[in-house]
Amino acid sequence: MSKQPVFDQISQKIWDYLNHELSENETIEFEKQLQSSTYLRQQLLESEQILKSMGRWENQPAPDWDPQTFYPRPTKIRWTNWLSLGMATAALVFSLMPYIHINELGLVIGPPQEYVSKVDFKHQLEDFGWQQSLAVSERIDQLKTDQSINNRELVSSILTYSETRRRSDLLQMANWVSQEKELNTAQQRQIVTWVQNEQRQDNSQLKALWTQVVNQNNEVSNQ
Amino acid sequence: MFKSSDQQLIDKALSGSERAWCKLVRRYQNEIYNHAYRMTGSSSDASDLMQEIFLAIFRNLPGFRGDAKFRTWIYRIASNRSIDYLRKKKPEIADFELDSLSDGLLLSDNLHQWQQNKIILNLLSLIPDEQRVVIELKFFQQFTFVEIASQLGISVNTAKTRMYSALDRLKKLAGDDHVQAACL
Repeated sequence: MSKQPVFDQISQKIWDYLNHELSENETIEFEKQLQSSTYLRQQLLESEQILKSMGRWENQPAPDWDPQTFYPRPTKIRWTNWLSLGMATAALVFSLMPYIHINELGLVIGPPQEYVSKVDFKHQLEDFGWQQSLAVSERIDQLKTDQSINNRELVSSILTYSETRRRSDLLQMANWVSQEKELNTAQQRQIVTWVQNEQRQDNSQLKALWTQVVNQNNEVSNQ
Repeated sequence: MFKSSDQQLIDKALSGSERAWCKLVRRYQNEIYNHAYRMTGSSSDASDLMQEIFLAIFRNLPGFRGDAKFRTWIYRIASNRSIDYLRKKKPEIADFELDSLSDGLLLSDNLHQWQQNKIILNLLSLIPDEQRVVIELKFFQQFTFVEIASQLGISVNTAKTRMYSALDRLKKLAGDDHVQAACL
């Protein structure tokens, strides 16, 4: 959907007519419509009034100001500028000459360095490789030794810990057995004592009963 | 007296001639000032805007290739600068400083001119900036719709729509009593 304001088709026609934007045929057609429509004539009159109002603007003189002072001078790049640019570039290249080298590798830009031939470089590279592999193998051996020591220490500490723990457990067990044994002995003593007491009571009761029976028998025999 | 063409003055200005640059400014400063005046509605803002426009012209002058007329090129810059200026100054622009008109006109006892300009500024203040700039370029600078569209970076139809919408709005507002009273 268009966001532009929709305005009256008649109105647009009037403005086109007033701005001489209509073709010859359109103008003739519009003027015919004007003759027959009061509304159109009224609209045209109002539109003309607006345009006339706009046309009554009286230009005012610009205030005094100095266009020289407020900004620097614009300049085109002249051949002298190109010359100075070229000279500056040449000076820059000249000053960088000690840092520019051409050898088997091509153009090299950097601080001056001792030239190394390709063969020497290959030997240096091989030496470097050997040194690296030696250093790596030494490092691996060292790591293995360290690991072995660590393992031994670990096993030793585990075993030490187990033995101590085991001793502690046995001692605890022995104490428990001893305590239990003492407890049982005391309980057994109490039971024996109780049984003995009970037997004594039973014996005394039996004796009393026996005496009573004997007495009764004696009485019976006496009678 | 021999009058240098715009292109001659531009070439000289680009070669470093301050005199040529000043001539170029003097040649267009009145119409640019009045353009700025109608766009802003205030003489002080118009003065500032005019200087901004000439600064932009000055900075872009090396890029002027002569493909279009210099005046068309100037107004492309002026229109865009005006819209930017109005966006920046929007709160203050809401009320056009119409009293400042008296500075230039009442002193010359030309009350009729003052009234006419006041009416126009009042009417222009009633329409949006985008429409006002089209009215400005069409009625006051007499550019074609194709040129206006090119200057504002919009289509010809959009330029037409903006102008006719603005004129319709002005026509309706001019019929309102309170607007008439404000205009007079």
